[in-house]
Amino acid sequence: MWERTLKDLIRGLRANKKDEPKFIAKAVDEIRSEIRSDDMDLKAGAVMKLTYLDMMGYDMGWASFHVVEVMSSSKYHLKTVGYLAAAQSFQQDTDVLMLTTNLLKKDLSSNPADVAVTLNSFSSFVTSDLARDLSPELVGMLNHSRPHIRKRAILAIYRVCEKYPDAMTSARPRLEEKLDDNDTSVVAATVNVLCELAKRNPKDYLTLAPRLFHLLNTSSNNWLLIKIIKIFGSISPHEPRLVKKLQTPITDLISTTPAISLLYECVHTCIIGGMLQGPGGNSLAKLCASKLAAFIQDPDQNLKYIALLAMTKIVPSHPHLVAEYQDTIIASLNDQDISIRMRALDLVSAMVNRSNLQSIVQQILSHLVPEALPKPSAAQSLSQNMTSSTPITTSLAPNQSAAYRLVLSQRILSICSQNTYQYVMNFEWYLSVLVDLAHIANIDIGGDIRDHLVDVVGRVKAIQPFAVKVMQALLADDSFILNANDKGSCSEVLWAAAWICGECPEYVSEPQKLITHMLKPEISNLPPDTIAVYIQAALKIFGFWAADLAEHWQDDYLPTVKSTAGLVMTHVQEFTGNFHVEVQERAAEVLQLFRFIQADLQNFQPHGSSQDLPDEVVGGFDVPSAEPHFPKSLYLIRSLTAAYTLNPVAAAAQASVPVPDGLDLDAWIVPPPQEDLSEESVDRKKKKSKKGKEKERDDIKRSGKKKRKQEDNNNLAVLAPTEAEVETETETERAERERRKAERLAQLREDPYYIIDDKPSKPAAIDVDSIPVVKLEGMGSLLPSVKENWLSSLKSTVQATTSSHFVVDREGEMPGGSGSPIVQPSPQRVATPVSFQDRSADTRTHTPEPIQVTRTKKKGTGKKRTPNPPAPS
Amino acid sequence: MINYILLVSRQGKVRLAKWFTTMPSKAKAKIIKDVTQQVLARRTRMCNFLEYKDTKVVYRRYASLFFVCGTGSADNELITLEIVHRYVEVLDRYFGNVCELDLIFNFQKAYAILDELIIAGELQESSKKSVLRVVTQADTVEEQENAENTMARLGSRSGPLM
Repeated sequence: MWERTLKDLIRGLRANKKDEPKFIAKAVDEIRSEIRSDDMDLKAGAVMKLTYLDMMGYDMGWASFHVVEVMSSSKYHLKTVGYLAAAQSFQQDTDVLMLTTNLLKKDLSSNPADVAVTLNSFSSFVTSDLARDLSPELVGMLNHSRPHIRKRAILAIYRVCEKYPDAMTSARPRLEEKLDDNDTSVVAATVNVLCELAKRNPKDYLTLAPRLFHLLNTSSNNWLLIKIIKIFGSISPHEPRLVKKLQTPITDLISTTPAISLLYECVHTCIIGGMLQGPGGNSLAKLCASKLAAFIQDPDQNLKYIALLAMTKIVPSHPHLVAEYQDTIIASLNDQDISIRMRALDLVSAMVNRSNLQSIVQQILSHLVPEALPKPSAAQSLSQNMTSSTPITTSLAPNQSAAYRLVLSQRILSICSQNTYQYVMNFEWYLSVLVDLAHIANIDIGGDIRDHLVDVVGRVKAIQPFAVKVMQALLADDSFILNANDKGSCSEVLWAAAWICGECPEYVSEPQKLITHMLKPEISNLPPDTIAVYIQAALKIFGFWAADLAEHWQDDYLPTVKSTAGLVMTHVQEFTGNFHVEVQERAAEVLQLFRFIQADLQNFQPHGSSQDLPDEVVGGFDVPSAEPHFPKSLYLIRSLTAAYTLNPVAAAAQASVPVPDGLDLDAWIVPPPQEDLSEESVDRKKKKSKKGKEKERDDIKRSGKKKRKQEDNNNLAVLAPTEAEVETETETERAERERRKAERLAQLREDPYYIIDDKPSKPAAIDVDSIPVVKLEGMGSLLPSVKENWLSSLKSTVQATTSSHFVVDREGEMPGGSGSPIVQPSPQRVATPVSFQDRSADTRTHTPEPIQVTRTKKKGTGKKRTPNPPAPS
Repeated sequence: MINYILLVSRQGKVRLAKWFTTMPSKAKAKIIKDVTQQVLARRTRMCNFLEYKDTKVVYRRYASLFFVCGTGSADNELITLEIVHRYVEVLDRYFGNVCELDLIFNFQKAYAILDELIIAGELQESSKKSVLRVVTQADTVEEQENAENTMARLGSRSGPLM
C-alpha cells in the first residue's frame, strides 16, 4: 500500500525525463485507483497529482466528479486542494458544475477561511447558470463584516456580471457604496471592477465622477490612483466639463509623481481622454511630450517602448510636438528589440509628412537590404553601439524574420500611398522605391507592388516616360523570370512592367529589342496572367512602332518590319497551345492579326506600287490616310489599341452606372436544362451562375486592363449573329423559358438549403444576351450618356480613380487634396486633370536633387543611407 | 485586467498557469506554446513587452523563471510589471529566497499565494503583509488538521499507515 505522494511524482518525473509519457501513463493508472478510494486524504492526494499533470498539458477532465468530492471535504486543507483543481481544470461545459450549486452555497455561508477559498476558485470557473443561481448570495456578501471577504466578493461579482448581466441591477448600488468603504483594499478592489465596467459602457458611469474625483484628490495609493485615472480616461470623452476639471489635478500629478507607471497612466489618459484638445490643452500636451521624450532617451527599454506607444497617440493632434524628436525616433527603428522597432515603425508612419517622407522610407528600406552588404550593417552597428553594447549579429536578427520584412514592405507602400500619394513629392523617386522594394523585399509582396506601380503610372501622367524607362530595364532583367517560381520573388512586378510599356508605347526607346525580350521562350516560366499581359503589351508596342514607321516610311524599313513581325509570330505561335485559356486566347488573337499584317507586308511592293494591294485585305479598317507608299496594315494595331486615352476612374464610378432598363442580372444567360428538379442540379446551377459572374468580371477586367477596344470589327461580325439569334427567339420559346423559370423558383422556395432573393425578378425578362454586351462594341444603339458611362466604368475596375470622362470621377479621387471641384457643363474634363498637372508640376520642380538620391540607391543599395545618416546623439 | 499568468522555465516548461478568462483548453495550449516561444526568444536588454495578436504580453525574468502576463492592449504595462514583481516578492518572503524548485514542489502554495494577490484578473491586495498573513494562517490550519488526522488514525488503527 505505498502510494506516491505529489513529491514522489515530481521527483519521478524529473528522474524519468527520457520516457516521460510511459512514466506518466503508469502514474495516471495509480491515480485512477487512488482517486476511487474512500480515504479522503488519498483521494485529495490523487487530485493534487492530477492538477500537476494538468498543468503539464495532460487532461484531467475525466476526474471532474472526484474533484467535486474533494471540494466537499470538511477539512480546510483538502477543500483547498479540491477548489484549486476545480479552478484549474473545470471548463464552461464541465457537466459536474451543475452539482456544485448547493455545495457552493453552503461553502459561501461557512467560516471565513472556507468562504475565501470558495470565492477565489469560484471566480475562475463561474458559468452563467452558477452566476444566476449564486448572485443573490454574492450581492449579500458585498456587505460582509470582514473586509477581506468583501473585496473578494467585489471581484467575484465582476465575473458574475460578465456571465449573467442581470445581476448588475442588484449589485450596482452596493458596488458604488463600496467606494466609501473604510478599508482601502476594498476601495481598490471596487475601483478595479469599476474600471473594467466603465471601459465597456463609459456613459453609465459618468455619475461616479464626483466620488472618483474626491478619491483622486485624497488618495496617495498609486495602485488606486492609476485605476482611477484609467476610469477617467474612459469616461471623460463623454463629458467635456470633466476634461476641464481634471486638467489641474492631472497636471499636478504629472509634474510631481515619482512613480513612472502613474505618470504614464496620466499621460495616457490625457491623450485618450481628449484633454489635449481643449483650452489649456496645449501646455498639457507640451508637458506630456517632454516627459515622453525623456522616456524615449532613457536607457530603460520599457520606458522607450511606452513612450513610443504614447507618442503615436499624440501625433494626430500635435504633430509638431513629436516632430521635434524625429531623429531619436527614427534611430529607434534600428533598435535590436522587435517590440520597440514595431512601435517606432508605427510612430514613424504616423509622423510622415511631405518633407520627411523620403528619409523615412529610405530608412525603412535600408532594413530590408540583404545583410551581406557591409555598409548598412556597419552603420547600423554604429548606431547600435551608441545605445547598447550588443553584438551586431543579434541586432540584425529581426531583419531576417519574414513577418517583420512583410510588415516593413507593407508599411512602405501604405505610408507612401496614403491619401492618394498625399506626401509624395517626387514620383520618380517613388517609382524607384517600388522597384527597389521588388528587388530586395524577398517576401511575398509582389502583387501589392504591382498594383501600386500601375496605379501611380495611371494617375501621374508626367511620370510615364520615366516609368517606361525603368520598366524596360526591369523587363530586360532576367533575374525575375528565373526566380519567378520562388517564394518572395516579387515577379508580379513584371506584370506591371509589361502593362506600363504596353500602355505607354510612345516612350519605349527600343521597341524591337523590347518585343524580343518580352516574347522570348523563357517567359513561359511566369504565371499565366503575366504571360497574357506580355503578349498583349508586345502587340501594342509593335502597333505603335509600326504606325510610327509608317508615318515616315522609307522602303528600307520593310525588311525590319517583316522580320519583327515574323519574330512575333514565331514566338506567339508557341503560346497558342498554352495550357491556360487566357494566354491561349491572347496568343491566338495576336497571331491572327499578325497573319494579316504579314500578308499585307508580303504583298507590299516598294516604290509606291501598293495600289496593287488587294482592297479586301485592308478594306475593313478605317486607316487615317490612304497614302499608298507604305503598307497600310502598319496602322492596323494602333488603331485598335490606342482609340481611347487611358485615365484613372473614380472609385464611385461603377456604382454610378445605372443598370439599363430591362437588364435582369438574375436571368440565365444560357437557359438551364429542363430536368432541373434534383438537388444536384441546384448545385450545378449555383456553380453556373457563379461562373457567369466570374466571366463577366473577367470581361470587365480585361477591357479595363487593355483600356482600349481591342475587339475589332471581325469580332463584331462574330457577335452580331448571336444578337440576331436572340431576336429571333420565338414567343413560344420565351414563354416556355418563363414557365421554367417560375417552376424553378417555386422549387427553390421549397428547398430549405437555398436562400432566394425575395425581390421579385424584373417582369420584363429580356435576357442578358439581348442587351449591352454586344451593343457596347456596336455603339449607337443605347442612349449616349449611358453608353459613355458604361464604357468608362468598364475601363475603371482595374484602375479605380479619376477619369476625365464622367461626372463621378471628379468627385471621386482628388489626389492632391484639392478642394471641391468646379462644376461646369463638362466639368469632368477640367477638374481632375488640373490636380494631375499640379502634381506633375510638383514633381518637376522637385526632381533634380532627390533623383540623385535614387540613382545612388539603385547602383548600390548600400549607399542609401547617405542622405539621412542615423546620427544618434 | 490580466488574462493569464504563466511561469515558464528557461527550457519552456510550464511551472504555473493561471487563467482569468474562460477559454477552451485547446486555445489555452496554443497561447502557452506561442507566447512561451516568443518570450524565450527574447534577449536581455530588450524591453519587457511583446504583442501577441490583439493582446499584450508583459514578462520578466527572475533567475531561471519567466513570469509572463497576458493583458489587454489598453492596460498599463508598467503596473502589470509591478504586480508581477509584487508576486515574486511575496513568494520570496514566503519561501525565503525562493528558487524554481520551491515552486515545482510546492506548486499548490504558489497558486494559493497568487489567489491571495489576484482574483478574476484584478489585484485584490497590494499589501505583502496581509497576503502573507492569510497564507501562513492557512498553513497553520493545515498543520492542525493533519495533526488531528494523525491522532485519529492512531486512535482507530494500530498505527499509522506508513
